[in-house]
Amino acid sequence: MVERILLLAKDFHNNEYVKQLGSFLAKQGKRVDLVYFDSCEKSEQVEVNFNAHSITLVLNADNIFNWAMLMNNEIKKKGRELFEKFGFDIIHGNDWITAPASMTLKKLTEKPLVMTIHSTEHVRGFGGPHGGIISDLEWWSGFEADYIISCDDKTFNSLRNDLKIPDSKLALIRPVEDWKEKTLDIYELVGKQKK
Amino acid sequence: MKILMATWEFPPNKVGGIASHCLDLSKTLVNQGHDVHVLTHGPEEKSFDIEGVHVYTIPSTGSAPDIVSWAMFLSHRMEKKAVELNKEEKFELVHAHDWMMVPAGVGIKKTLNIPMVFTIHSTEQGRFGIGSRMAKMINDLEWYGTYEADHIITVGKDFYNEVRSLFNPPENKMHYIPNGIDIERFDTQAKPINKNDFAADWEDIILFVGRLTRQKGLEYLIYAAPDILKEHGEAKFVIVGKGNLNFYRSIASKVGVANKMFFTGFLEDGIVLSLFKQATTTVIPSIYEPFGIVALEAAAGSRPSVGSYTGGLKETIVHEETGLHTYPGHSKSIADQVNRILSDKNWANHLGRKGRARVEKNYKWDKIARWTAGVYGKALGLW
Repeated sequence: MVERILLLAKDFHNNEYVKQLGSFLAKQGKRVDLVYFDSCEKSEQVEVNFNAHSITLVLNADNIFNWAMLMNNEIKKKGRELFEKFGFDIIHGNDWITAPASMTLKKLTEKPLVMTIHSTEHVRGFGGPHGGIISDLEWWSGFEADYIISCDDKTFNSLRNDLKIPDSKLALIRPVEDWKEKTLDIYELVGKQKK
Repeated sequence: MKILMATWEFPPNKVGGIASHCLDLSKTLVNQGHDVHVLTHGPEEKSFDIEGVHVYTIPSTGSAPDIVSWAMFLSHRMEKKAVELNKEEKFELVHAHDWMMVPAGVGIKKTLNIPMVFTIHSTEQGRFGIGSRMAKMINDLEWYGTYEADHIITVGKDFYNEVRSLFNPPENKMHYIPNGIDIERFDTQAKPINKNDFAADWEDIILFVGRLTRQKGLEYLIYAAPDILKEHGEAKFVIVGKGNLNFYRSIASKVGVANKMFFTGFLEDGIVLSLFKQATTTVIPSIYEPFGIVALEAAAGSRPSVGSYTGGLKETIVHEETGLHTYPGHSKSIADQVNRILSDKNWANHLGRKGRARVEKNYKWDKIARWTAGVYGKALGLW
């Protein structure tokens, strides 16, 4: 049974996916700790069982990719510290921007990793100079995660066809009424597989 | 101690001086009883041992649009490898070299909760100046490395002050430890060469060894060549190193010394060691040189060097004792000092002998590795 979940996301207060999921899981009696980026470092209780921990970065970077790679070092640190205290059953990363920390924490703790990929670089169209390297990170996170969730058909097809993620660990969970329950089902599934 | 070292270059992959530095340091640490594991870049993921040092090569990505992103991606993959290895090895500290390994060093430090030592070999400010967004990012990464590291090693005394004034780290975590030199290599690994492959029997070899980049100041030596040849027609300039060969060849043609200047390109180590011993003098016309290992290599070959009075060369050459100093970026000064060496061979030999003795006393890796282990001990709170 999955009881404790470590959620990783770039942001929190404007992130409905993470807010709703965290709140739902907490109401099911699960302990949820979210690590996200903000302008200062703090920990707050969002509601009973749901805690949010912001991390920050002491330097700016010249582009989003380099910034994300450095910001992930802070997520790893906070994630490790929380793991030492609470010993999570599942790590749930969101998008390429938290993929480095998600993969590293999985290796460190040997706990299952679920990734939600909200969109791929193939879908976005490789708009900037870092499109290729971001796509590489998306591939790696798909390769290393135990399960990958997509929220729309386009992304699901891209994960399957462009990034060649096997169907056996790929789910399409559209943001309709029972999406949070289905996400919890996936936690239980990968939790059991890992055991 | 169980040490994890991160360096983007390590033999057989050699670009600049960091590869040799890391190999010599790590194998000496192994000889002193430490367990050293090296993460480095390679075309495929594999592991092998070199003289007791455990080496792991990790690829980066072919999709990086620039060197900084490439280093970031490589660092991430190295850190995952470090986490895997740590299950068995239980590393006590991570030692990262230069800005390219700052993301790896910081990532490993924060993930494994172990101290980080950071050796800074040169700065972007000194190499090229901060004239672009990417240069600014590299400069910021160098600062970040000094900020996150528990202890910082600089390779030169002057360079120590440069790092201090650029990045302002607390003085109690800064250390000066010079590069070491493997002197025995000059006696045992120098390959026999045929002098005629480089110069005529009657010619004196004036040697340059280094990357052919602006920082190394080769053009000042080329511009000095006519004044040297005017007094010493027997001089022959042998230029060893990779880089923008055509650019420097064109300068040599322009000043009319192309037939007296032999650009060898890259040469294997054993041949370069012999050239150091064969050359009448080695010239180091750098305009920026945090350490200046080439002056020590010339000295290990018992030959004097002529080098710019800048950065680490202020220490690695003792003027009129182991070689001669010149004004940086000053061709006339180079010509004057090379002519002094060529005019008095007995004196040149004397300088060479003094240089060798100084290197044996101060720059052996055994001593340098013990100092470095001392910094590791500080990082671990042992003293």
